[in-house]
Amino acid sequence: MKDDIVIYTGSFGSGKTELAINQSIKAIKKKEKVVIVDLDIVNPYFRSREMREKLKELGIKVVAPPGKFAMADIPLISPEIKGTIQDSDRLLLLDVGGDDVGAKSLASFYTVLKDTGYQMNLVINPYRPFTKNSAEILTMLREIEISSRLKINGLISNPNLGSQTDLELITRGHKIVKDVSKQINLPVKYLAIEQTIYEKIDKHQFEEPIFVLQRYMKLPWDEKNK
Amino acid sequence: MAEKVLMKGNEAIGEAAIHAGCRYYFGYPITPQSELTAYMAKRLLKIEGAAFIQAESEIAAINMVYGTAATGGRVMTSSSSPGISLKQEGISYIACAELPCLVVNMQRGGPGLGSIQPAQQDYFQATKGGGHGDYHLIVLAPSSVQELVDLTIKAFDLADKYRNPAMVLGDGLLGQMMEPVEFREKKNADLPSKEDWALGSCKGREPRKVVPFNLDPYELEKLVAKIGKKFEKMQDEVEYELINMDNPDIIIVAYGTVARVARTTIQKAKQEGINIGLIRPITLYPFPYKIINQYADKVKHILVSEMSLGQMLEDVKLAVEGKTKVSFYGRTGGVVISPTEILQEVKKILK
Repeated sequence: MKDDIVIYTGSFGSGKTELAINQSIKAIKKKEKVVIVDLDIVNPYFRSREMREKLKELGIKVVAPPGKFAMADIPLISPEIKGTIQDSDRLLLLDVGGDDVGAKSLASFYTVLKDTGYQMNLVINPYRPFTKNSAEILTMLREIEISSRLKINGLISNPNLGSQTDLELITRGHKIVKDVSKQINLPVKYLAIEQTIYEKIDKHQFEEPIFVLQRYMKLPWDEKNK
Repeated sequence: MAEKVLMKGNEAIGEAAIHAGCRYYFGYPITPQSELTAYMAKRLLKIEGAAFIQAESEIAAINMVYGTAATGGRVMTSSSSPGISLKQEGISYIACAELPCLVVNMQRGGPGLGSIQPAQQDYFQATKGGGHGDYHLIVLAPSSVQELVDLTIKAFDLADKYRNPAMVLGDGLLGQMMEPVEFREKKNADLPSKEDWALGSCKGREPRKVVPFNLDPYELEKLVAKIGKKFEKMQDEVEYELINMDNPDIIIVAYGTVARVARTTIQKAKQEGINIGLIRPITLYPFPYKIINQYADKVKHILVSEMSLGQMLEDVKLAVEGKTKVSFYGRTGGVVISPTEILQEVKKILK
């Protein structure tokens, strides 16, 4: 399995874009060459392309529809993507739109990806509607696999209620993801915890690696007080 | 206790509607509210006796709402700005026929096809008619995802109470953002029965009709007067929030997303020794004229901020009755105002 093509899929709002952005910034700090592909054809706001300028400054390339088209709600898939997948010598992060509908855009790269190999993660937040328990999560997983024509080979546990997340909530949500992992024998690659919450809690109880997440997709009123 | 869920605003409206007993949704997708249509499709199709139809157009959808409302069903539609324009004829008919329903508008930049980014440019359309004739919608303006839930439920109840269409007026940002929400146990509002007017089988009673006209001008005048009386009564429903109103240097009046931005402005200003108060209208119709008028006596300046060229501004000016200065700061096109921008504007005024 190739480690340098990482695909993020999952339900709407499960945290794919934040994870991809965080991963890209971590990798660039290690001097790796990083490319993010924004494959989101379903969300109109909060897409990784909104971070394009900031990421560019850090040396991360974002592949997304150019110029004004980036602000449109049309299912544009950049012709650059195929070439980027075939390149080597870089870490490629594919940020896919939510649900099976969003994953459909992946199917067009099936012929390339089946040869290159890939890591495809299902990002799970059990506090989102339609992925609240293992039955729902398994349905989501199957629907995404069918529509993308690709196989999910890892789970990312991202249990959170935004700013109201606490240890009890993470523990309860993470257990749901672990149960799914046991049922279908797929590894939980890591547990994602937002930084401010991470700093406050005792995390020794978790067996999986913890991925400390920073929130980059902010709301207009989140502007920090000076 | 209700479990909390992390929801997008658009999804939250859908779940709130179902929670409120709405079983009929008719709509046509448009960014940035399509998740609501999609959510209703997913959820309603699993509920027995419920109906979801993706109509062939917005005009078709609002007329399906009209028909369902005539039978007494709890029914809704939703769209975003250009789509809401298309529904106006139907909304006017529903108001004339005195039927309850919910219309959700998650506004985007206008005029015309505009943009898909958030805006507040449909205030006039929402509060002053939109369609033709003498009528008003009950208009509620949420400012968080939880409030999208609470006000959606409330809008259904108010629509039933007054037999008048109600609108939840949000914007794309509120629709797309995610926040934790809970669906509190439903209080049974004391609502009038629909038995004496709803259409259905007329076996054993006189047939009824629901019509949006009366060709006799004197009869129509009576109907319009009756509708007018309802608007007088609706003034009791005024709702607003007051924030930091203890002897402020200036008062901001803002609703929805901009009110949320203004809260951060208040915090920032405090650090610089400036005391800003905020009046946040929750009902845009009926508008909280009285409270704004009362505060107009106490403050030297009122700043209205909207993501428009200044629409609610006109109602604030009416409320103020010239008692104090009223200024305006707005952005349009889908640009969201930042806390810093409002603070700069406040400083300019206070200089």
